[in-house]
Amino acid sequence: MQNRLFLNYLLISLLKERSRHIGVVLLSLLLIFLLSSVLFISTSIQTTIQNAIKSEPDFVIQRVKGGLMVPLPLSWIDDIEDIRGISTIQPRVWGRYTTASSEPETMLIVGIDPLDPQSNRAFSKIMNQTDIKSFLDGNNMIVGSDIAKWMDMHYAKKSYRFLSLGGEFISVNRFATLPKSSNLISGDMVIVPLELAQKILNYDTQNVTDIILNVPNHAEWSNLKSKLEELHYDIRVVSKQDSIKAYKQMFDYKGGFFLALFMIVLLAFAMILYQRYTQVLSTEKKQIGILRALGWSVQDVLRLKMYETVIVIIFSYILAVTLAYIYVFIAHAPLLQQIFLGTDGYSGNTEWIPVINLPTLMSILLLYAVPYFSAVIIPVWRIAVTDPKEAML
Amino acid sequence: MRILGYFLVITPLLLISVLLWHYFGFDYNKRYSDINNIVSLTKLNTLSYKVTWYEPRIRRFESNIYTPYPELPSAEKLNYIYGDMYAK
Repeated sequence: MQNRLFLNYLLISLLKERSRHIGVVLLSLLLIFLLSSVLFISTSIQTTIQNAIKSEPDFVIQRVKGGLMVPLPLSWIDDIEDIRGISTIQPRVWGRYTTASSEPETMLIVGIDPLDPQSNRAFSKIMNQTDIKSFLDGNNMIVGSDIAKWMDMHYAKKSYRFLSLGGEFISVNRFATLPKSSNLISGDMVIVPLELAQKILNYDTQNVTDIILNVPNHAEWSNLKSKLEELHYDIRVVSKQDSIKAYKQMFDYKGGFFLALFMIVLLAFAMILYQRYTQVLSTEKKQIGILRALGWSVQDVLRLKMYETVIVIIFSYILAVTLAYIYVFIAHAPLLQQIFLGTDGYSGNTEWIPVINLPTLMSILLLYAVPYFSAVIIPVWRIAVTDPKEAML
Repeated sequence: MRILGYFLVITPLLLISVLLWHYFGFDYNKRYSDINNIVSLTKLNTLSYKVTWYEPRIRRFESNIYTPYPELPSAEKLNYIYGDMYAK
């Protein structure tokens, strides 16, 4: 019975002070919403990258001139072939192509090797058909969904004429479009046979962008890297392990950066709340004094305020996180995604793969709840312990 | 009282629908395999070029790897490559 009365009073007092509570809820909603959205995007990118790394080659070999990457001769493959322990060596041709129009679009031209069995397997999985021959027969291309949209708008529904970097026009038929779900990785991609990529990017037939190789025995990786580095003076060897390490460093750095920002915002938030509560409490002082005079103990008063605060915290937290989820994974985070991603060819039309990082979400709740809680409870406790007569004055 | 009622009803409903969406609304395997298939087809993980904030760090990192004049191999490495000849 007593509990029912207590809860009834709690609801009435929540409602009486609704303008203040709604203000606090809106403020916390904005704070947690922004933080969770950033967190959702970064976790999603991190998970996607970690997943995509699995399919990456073990080593990438590049040629560097003055710190910049330059095409390398195919003859390097012969040098590498002599090293024992390497399972596959393949040339790769890729590069950026910018269209000559009033609104230039940048595409990533990627050449695929027709003789590679792994490419063939992946091709049949993506296209749901096994016939790679028809793709390799003529000048065909598979385009990412962003590029497909751009080509549709620019009257290139069946084929597109590339002006090769050598000044020659090459007409390429549109063979298929890549699925939209992989837009994050393939939105600006144009996949063509290797020789065609060489033509569009004006490469010599004997030149490629870089060379990839796989080494099945992981214990050999460091040894093999040093062997490769000894081959040429202008060689750059990037291993999969290096890129995994680099990504980890980047995400740790970025996570820390956002956490530091959040701490600052949270401190400001706690200060505002503290000030607000110490000011407003002059009216609330009377209320607490009356309650105390009616026979409420300090514990009861604190319990009332604690319940009030917990209700506000839980509602604003759940609402903010849910809204952030909807914003990022269902609405695809308009505006905010530009902070994370962007190159010349990036249209900002990305579908994120939903990932919920529960430990981080819980730590946000703790980081938010503790300062808020103390900003409310400490002033209330200070009044509650004073004499009711004094408090009502 | 009505506002509180809205909160009490809408928030859990929203949460439940989002959770249902999260667990049943997506074919995660298909999405990941789509991405992995494209990486295996092109052998190129283009995501690394799109994560803008990280790019300068990646560049710096790569230039650290690149050594124009490779360091002299250690005795251990030479030993491994050429047999016992250099170790002695």
